[in-house]
Amino acid sequence: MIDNKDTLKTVDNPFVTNNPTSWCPGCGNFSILDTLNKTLFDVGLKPQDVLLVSGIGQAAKLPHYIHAHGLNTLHGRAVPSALGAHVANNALKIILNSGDGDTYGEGGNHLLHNFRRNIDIVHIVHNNQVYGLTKGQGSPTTPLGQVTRLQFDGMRSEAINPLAFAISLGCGFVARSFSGDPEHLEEMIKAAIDHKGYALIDVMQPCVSFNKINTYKWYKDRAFKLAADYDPTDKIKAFEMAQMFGDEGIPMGILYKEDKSDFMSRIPHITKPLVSYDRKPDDIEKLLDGLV
Amino acid sequence: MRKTIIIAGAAGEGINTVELYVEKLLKQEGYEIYAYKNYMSRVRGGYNYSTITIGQERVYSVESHADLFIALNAEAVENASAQIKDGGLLIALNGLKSKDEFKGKAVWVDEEALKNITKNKNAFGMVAVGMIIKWFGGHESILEKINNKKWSDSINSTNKESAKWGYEQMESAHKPARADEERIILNGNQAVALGALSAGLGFYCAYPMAPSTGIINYLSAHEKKMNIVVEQAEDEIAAAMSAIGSASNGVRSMTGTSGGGFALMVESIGFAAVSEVPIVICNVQRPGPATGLPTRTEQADLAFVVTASQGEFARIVIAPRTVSDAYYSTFRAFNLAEKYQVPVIILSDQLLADSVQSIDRFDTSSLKIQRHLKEDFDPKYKRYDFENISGNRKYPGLDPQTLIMTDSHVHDEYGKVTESEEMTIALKNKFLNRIEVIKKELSAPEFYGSENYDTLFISWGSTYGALREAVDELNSRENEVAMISFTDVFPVRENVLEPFIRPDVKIVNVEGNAMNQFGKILRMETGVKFSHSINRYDGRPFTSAYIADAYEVIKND
Repeated sequence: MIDNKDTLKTVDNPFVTNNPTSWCPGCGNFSILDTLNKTLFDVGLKPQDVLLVSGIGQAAKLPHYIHAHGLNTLHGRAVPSALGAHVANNALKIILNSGDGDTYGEGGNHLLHNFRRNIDIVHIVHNNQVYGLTKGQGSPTTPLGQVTRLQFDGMRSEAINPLAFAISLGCGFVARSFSGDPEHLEEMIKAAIDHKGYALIDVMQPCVSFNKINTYKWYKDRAFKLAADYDPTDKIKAFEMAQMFGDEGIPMGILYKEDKSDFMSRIPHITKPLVSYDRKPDDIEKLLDGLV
Repeated sequence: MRKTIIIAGAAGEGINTVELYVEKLLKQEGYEIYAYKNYMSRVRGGYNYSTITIGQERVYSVESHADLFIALNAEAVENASAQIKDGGLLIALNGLKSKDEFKGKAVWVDEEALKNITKNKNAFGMVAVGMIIKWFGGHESILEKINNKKWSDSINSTNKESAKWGYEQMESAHKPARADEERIILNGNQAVALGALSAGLGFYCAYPMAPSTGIINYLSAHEKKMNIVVEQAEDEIAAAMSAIGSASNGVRSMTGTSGGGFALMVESIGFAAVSEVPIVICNVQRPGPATGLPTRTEQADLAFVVTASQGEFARIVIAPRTVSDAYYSTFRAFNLAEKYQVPVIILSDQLLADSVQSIDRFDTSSLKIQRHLKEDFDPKYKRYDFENISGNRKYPGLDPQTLIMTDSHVHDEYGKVTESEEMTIALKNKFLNRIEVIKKELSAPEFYGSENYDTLFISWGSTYGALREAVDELNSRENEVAMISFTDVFPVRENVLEPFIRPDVKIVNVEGNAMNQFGKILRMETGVKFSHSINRYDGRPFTSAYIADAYEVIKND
C-alpha cells in the first residue's frame, strides 16, 4: 500500500486543506488528491485561478477536499457543467475529477460530444473498475465475466476501452497514469494543464473495499511506461497501443496528443471571458429596427 | 373592421413567404396584425395553413374562418368551403383540378397569363400578396419592399413583378386606418429571445425541439452582433446543465425546449435550486405525453413544471399571455432568478411561439438589469447563508479573493457536504421562507371586462387573447362577464383571488387542457372553486368564438 500524504504535504501550499475525507483508508484517491494539490501549486496556480468540477461518486467528492473554487454537480453531469463554466469564464483553469461510472456510464454521451467540442479542461478519471459509493457493482470498465457484489455470475457486458474511445473521437490529449506512481501522475497532470483542449487522464486507482482483483499489486505488475521514442502524434499507433490492457501489460503515459483549435477559439467573436461583457437592455435596439 | 386571411397549401409551397410579406406590408400600411401557423410535423407536403387576422383596432387572436382564402393547391380549394366565411372570397389558379368543387365567390387567376410573367411554380403566392395588398387598399409602391437578401436579384425582381401583376387583377375593398407608428411585428419565440437579450443573456444552450426551436434560431442569427454564445447541446440534460454551469460562473444563461425535453431537464432543476444557481428555462408547450403532437398547442405541462424534480424548494413559473408580455416577462425572469437564486420557468406554448403580432416597440428605457450581487470582498462571506433569502450572491472571480463552492448536496453555509439534522432543517426552512417572499413579489392577475360581472372567467398564459375577445363579444351581446388572466402562475398567494370573488358570481375556468390544472392549483392554494370550465385539448388554440359558444351552453346553469 502506498500512502504518500505526508511526504507531499507542504505547509505553504494553499490548495491543501485539513478537511476530513470520507474515503476508505488506503483508497487510491488519496494519492490523486495529494498529487493534484502539489501539481497545482508547482505550476504556479492560485486557488482563485482553479475551478474543480465534479459529478457524483467517490472521486467526485474531491472538490470538497481542495482549497479552490468548486462545482460539485450531479451524477454524469460534470462534463456539461464544465462546458458551461468554461464558456462563462475561460480564465479559470478547470480540473474535472470523476469516476469510471460517472464518466463512461451515466455521462458517456456528454463525454463524447465534449471531445468533439474540444473544451479546454483537464479531466482526471479515477478509474477503479468498480462502483465504490454504491458499494461494489460493476462499472463500464469492469471486464467481461468479473464477479462483483451485484453481478454474481460475472459481468455480462464487455468493458469499454476508454483510451481507444477517446482517441477514436479525436480527443487531443489521451493519457494513462496510476495512483500508485505519483511522480508519473504529476508529470501527466502537468502536461494536461499545458495542453490547450480536452485532456483526458485515465488513472488506474485501486478500490481497496470492492475490487479485490484490480489491486495495487495487480496494476503495478502490469503497468509499464511508454518508451522514450514513442510518438504520441501517430494516431494509428496510439490506437494500437490503447488496445493493450491486462496480462499483456498496461501502457502508461501520453498515448495520443494532437494540437488543434479548442472550443473557445472556434468562437472568435468572444475575445475576453464572457462574464466580463457589459450588457444593457437597450442593446437590442438594433434588432428591433429589423422588426419595424 | 376585422378581416381574416387564410393561406393554405402544402409545406414547401411558400405559405410562410406569403404570410411574411402580407404581415409586413399591411403592418406598414397601418393595420393591426395577429397571425398563427397551423402546420403538420413534416418538411414537405401535408395540409398547412397560416391565418392572419387584420384589424384597425388591436387584435388578440385569430378568427377561425376567412374573408380571403388563398388556396395554393387543389387540396386547399377542396378545404376552402369549410374554412371560409359566408360571402368570403377564394383566390386560386384557374387550372386547379378541384376548381369545380368550390361554389362560393372566387377570383380565379389565369394560369396561362401568369406564365407570361414567370414560369416559377410558386409565383402564384406572390400574385396573391399583390391582390391582398390591393384588397386592403395598400399603395402599389409598397410592393417595392418585396425583397429578400437571401434570394437572387432575378428571383426578387420576378416576385415583385408577380405581385404587381396580382395588384392589377384586384379591386380595393378597404382603406388603411392610420399611418404606421413605431410598431414592430414578431412572434412569441422571438419576443422571448429579445427579452433574454435585453436582460443580458450571455449563454443560450439548447437542443432543437418544436415548437421552441425559433428561440435558438433567432439567438444564433444574432450571436455575433450581441456578443453571446449559442450552443446546440447533445441533449436537453446537457443543455440545462451547461446553462447552470455558466450561470454559476456569473453569466446570465438560459435554455429552452418543449415538454419532452423539459422532462429530461428535471434533475437539473433540482440541482439549480439546491445549489442556488439562477437559471431561466423556457418550456414551449406542445401536446403530450411523449411525442404527442409536435407542432400543435396545449397548456398541459403546468402541473408538471410546478412539481418537476424530487424534493421541496422554491421556483417561479411565468406564463406570458401575449407577444409583448413574452418580452417583458422574460426580462423579469432573469432579475427574479438572480434575486432569489432560483430556477425560473417561462411556460410558453405553440400558440404564443408561432403567433405573429403587431405591437408597440419595446420600451427598453423602462428596464433595469438587477443582478443582486455582493461585489465587495467580505472575509465573513457565506455563499449559502441560511438567513439569506435574496441577493448577496457571489460567483468565482467576482472579487479576487473569495472561493466559491457550488454544491448539489445538503450543505452548510459554505457549500460543504453535511448530514446534520440542524443544517438539513435550516436549508429547507430557507427555501420555505423564500417561497413566501416570492409569493408577495409576483404580480396579480389582470382584470378585463364588465365591472358588473355575474360571470368571471379565469385564465393563464396565452389563452388571454382569445378570452379577451370572447369577453368583448359576449358583453356586446348584453352579457355581463369579466376575466382575470395570470402571467405569474406559480407560486400563488392565498388571497390572490379575493379582490375578484363575490358570492353571486359564477366562476368559469378556461384552460387549454382537459384537467383544469391551474384551476386545481388555485383551489389548492386559495380554496376558491370554479363551478364550470371551458377546455380545449384537440391540439388547436382557443378562438373567441369557441369560448363564446361554450359560454352560451353553460350560461343558464
